[in-house]
Amino acid sequence: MKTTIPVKAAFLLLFLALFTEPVPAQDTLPKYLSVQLKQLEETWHILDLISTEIWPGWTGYADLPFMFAYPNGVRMLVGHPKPPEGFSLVAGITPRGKTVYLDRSKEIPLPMPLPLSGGGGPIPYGIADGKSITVISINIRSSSLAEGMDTNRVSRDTYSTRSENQILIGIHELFHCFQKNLYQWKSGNLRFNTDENYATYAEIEGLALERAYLEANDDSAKEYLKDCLVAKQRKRRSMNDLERLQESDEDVMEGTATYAELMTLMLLKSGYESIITQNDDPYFYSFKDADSLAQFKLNSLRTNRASTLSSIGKSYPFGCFEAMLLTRLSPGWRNGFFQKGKGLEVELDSLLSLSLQEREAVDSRLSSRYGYDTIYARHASVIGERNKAYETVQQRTGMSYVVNFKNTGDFVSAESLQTSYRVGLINIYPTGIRRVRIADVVFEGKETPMVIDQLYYIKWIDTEAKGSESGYEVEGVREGTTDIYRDAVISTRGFRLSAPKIEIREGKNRVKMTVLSKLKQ
Amino acid sequence: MNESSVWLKGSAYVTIERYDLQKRWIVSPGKKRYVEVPLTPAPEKKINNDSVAIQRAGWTYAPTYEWTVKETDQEAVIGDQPCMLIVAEGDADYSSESVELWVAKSAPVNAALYNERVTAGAVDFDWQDLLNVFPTLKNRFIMRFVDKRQPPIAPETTYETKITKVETAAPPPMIYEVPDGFQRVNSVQELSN
Repeated sequence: MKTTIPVKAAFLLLFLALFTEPVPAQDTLPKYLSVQLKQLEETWHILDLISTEIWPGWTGYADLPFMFAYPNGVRMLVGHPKPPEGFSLVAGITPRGKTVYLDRSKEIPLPMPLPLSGGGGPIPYGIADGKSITVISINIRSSSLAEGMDTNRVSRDTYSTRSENQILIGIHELFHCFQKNLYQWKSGNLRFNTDENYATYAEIEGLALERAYLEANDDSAKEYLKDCLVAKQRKRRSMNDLERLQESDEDVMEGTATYAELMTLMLLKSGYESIITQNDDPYFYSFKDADSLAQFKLNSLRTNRASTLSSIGKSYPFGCFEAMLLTRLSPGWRNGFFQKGKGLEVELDSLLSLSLQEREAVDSRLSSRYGYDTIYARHASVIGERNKAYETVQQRTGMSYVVNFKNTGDFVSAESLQTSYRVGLINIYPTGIRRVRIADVVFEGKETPMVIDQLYYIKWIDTEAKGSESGYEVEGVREGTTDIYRDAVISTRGFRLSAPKIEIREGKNRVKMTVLSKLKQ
Repeated sequence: MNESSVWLKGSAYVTIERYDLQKRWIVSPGKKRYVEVPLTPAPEKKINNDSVAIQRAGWTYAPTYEWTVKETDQEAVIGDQPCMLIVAEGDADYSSESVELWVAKSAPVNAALYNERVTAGAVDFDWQDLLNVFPTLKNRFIMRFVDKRQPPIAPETTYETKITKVETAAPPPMIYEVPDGFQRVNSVQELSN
């Protein structure tokens, strides 16, 4: 192992002086935080206008606190009645009369260029008056920080970076809180890897759903919905009872929350005036092209239905468009729907009243109507490749190298050398990972099977490792006799990793590299 | 505990283990109900092939820890006992665990029996794994342990358990019996329904 001369402290001070944003005065916030608050104000404004049109009885959305967590370690809490330790009040900034708190205890000098985007969901966070407080937790993943992105080219065509999308995500998550007061979640999140049968009938289900949605004639739309319903039953033959319940719950929860987004786009087409402008948020276009934004939802249905390996991802558009069709064909369906605790398929069943004979007739027409053989062949090929990839990585033995990115707070997202496959939380790269970049951490892989597992870890097994021979080299500044290196560059037969600060621990058959900092200091 | 019985009080239930009868009673004092279960664990379930099919693979991560256990020079009085610190570090692919074990230098307890009947079931870390690496732990009486876990995805958690007093005394009468008048039920769920 080699070491190099330490970085001089003067460089560190210069860097900090140049790139650390000053701590704001009490009544000012950095732009990225003030934009976030403006988006939140617009979210509440929109729901003031249309929440009960989206769903009868939807109120109380403005009472829910939000927590935003940023890649630079800053957290912002809005409207929390009793913020946990670490948060300080921001004086004088009170969107909709709500208090704003910041936790900057883990802030690193990472620039936060706009636009920012992220997702999350409701979580319990803090206690007030003896009761657990639910907050909408949003983890900002900052698409603009992605490598190679030219922020000047972000336009209204880039859906994910538009502020309208972030507002819709807020509405989606707020709707989850509304649902959870009414609907009894029965089974937990769907955990299911697709097979040929599931993927094929899911595609047929999605095709029928799209045709029903686009069909102007109600009777014809119902015929397509019958196909959709029977295909769904066929699809679920691949699942056990628990998984069927899980998927039904996901369709309800994620489907109707996505429906809330699409309904928002439909309802904002007329009579809406925003309270924020592009001066407040340069990536906010006042929902002026709501139709093209709605088209993204339809595209999501098309993409997900055709995706062989997607299971839970299908629930968002499938449930959404089922709900849209129910609204059109059975207008009163929303009243009491959540309280009944039944799935969307039960509501569709009730609307369509399929007899056993009719169900059989529908079943027998699916194959020719939707081109079963072609669809099956395509999915079977992908499933076969996925299974082969899974077997390949399971069978590899040797010295394991695990790179742990958990401390960066960023899920590992990789450029694959070719195709990748997902099995549970394992992302398999049978021909290797080309590159992963998280701020100043760069992982460059070679052409060898690797996995990303548990969201934060890359694992590679060196099958050529020999007994006592060290299979890696480190260049960097070692901190005394610890296992911690600064400005490290690690080389193995399978990858090259550079990181500002990393800990390397050797076990019996494993070398574990834990990234301690993603930013050069 | 005595040679044949253990009495454990939790927040909702009392558990009585009778090694002479090979029975465990879980008692709800509030509801005046109890359930009886055998002490000997049921034979392991056969592996259900369905649960390892590709449809279910990759969702659950069960760490296999590589443990290193070391005695340290650190000493402290925990509760009423002079103790020394043993540190166990477990490392797996995607998680890690660190356990500080403050063990009594000389406690008036049959530590081996206590560990077998109480510690093994009370701690969240894998007691048997630690014994395999550090067998003398079997005869050490743990006054305090601090278990820090770094799971794969969720934030780090810390659990601490401390014994405040160790004494040898005659047990209160009938403590290892289900109180008179308690209704027997068939499942733990029925204890609280």
